[in-house]
Amino acid sequence: MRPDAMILSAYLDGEVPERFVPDIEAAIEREPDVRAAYERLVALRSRLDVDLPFDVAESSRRSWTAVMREVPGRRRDIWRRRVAVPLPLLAAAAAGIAILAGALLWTTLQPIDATPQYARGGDIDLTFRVGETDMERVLQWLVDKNMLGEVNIQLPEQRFQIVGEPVFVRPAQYEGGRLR
Amino acid sequence: MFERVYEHVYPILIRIVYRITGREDVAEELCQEAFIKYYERIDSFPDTDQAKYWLIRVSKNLALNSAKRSGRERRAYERAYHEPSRLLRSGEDEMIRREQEVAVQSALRQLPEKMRTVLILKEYGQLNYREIGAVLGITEGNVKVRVFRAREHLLDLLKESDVYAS
Repeated sequence: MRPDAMILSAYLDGEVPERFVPDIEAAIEREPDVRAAYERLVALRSRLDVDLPFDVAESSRRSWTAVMREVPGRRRDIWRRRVAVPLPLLAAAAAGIAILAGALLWTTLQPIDATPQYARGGDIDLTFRVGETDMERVLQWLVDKNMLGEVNIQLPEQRFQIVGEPVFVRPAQYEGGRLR
Repeated sequence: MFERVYEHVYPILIRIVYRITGREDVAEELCQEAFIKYYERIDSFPDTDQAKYWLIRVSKNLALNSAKRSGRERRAYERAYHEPSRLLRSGEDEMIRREQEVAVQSALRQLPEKMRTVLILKEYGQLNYREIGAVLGITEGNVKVRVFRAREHLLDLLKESDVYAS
């Protein structure tokens, strides 16, 4: 095998498959013109391999400081971020959302209980105004319906000067602003 | 992630960008600009290699644009390579070495952009053909051909300038 100049260039860069290397090295050793061509490439690389006229480590430190001054004020593109979510976590989150949505739907679709509270056996507070002449009839009606539990009667304080124990007075006993 | 990529890639970037621009201060600024751009989209890179290729591509483009814009590329190279060396050598050897460096870098500058870029990435970026292909968006075979042609062209230029010594 007689390697051409392009193969020698690739060989110089370590880019030739291993199986060809022994033949190339043998050709460089054996063939003066192949050796000369290869040595030209080596010499060129040597000339290109010159030191930088400054210290790379020092340059790196300077630039790091400059970059760190700029970076905090920079906005990072949110829409380009890659987000890695573990599959089990994603599945658990999806299940949780499904359960919450189901519960909300179930609650929303429940029929509203329109039965009055008193019909369900609960106590109710009822306030109504009754003229003084109808009080007895109202009380009697409540007794007849077996609905009379506790009745609070609010009297206008400025009209009564109650002294002693309160007495239940039937409206029938009250006539013309006096008790009969 | 950002710091790790910076530590790994900065030395490569600064060598590449400096060889294109020929100026230390400009090279540093362009590398900084590339890393700030990288920070803004850091989450879009799946791994360090992709970040590295992107950074090299961006900084290489920034450097080429900067060099074209300024029009000072040749003078910068000559200035850079006439600066005092940090290595201790005898005066005459040093002068010869400097002249050869200037000649080689000047010849490198005369290469067509595609050849120059691929050779700079190879020689100063220390990238293999696969990596160069990833940076430039070309195949490994294409990289091999471009590197070879760049070397041949560079050797011809050096022969013409009578600097190359076998």
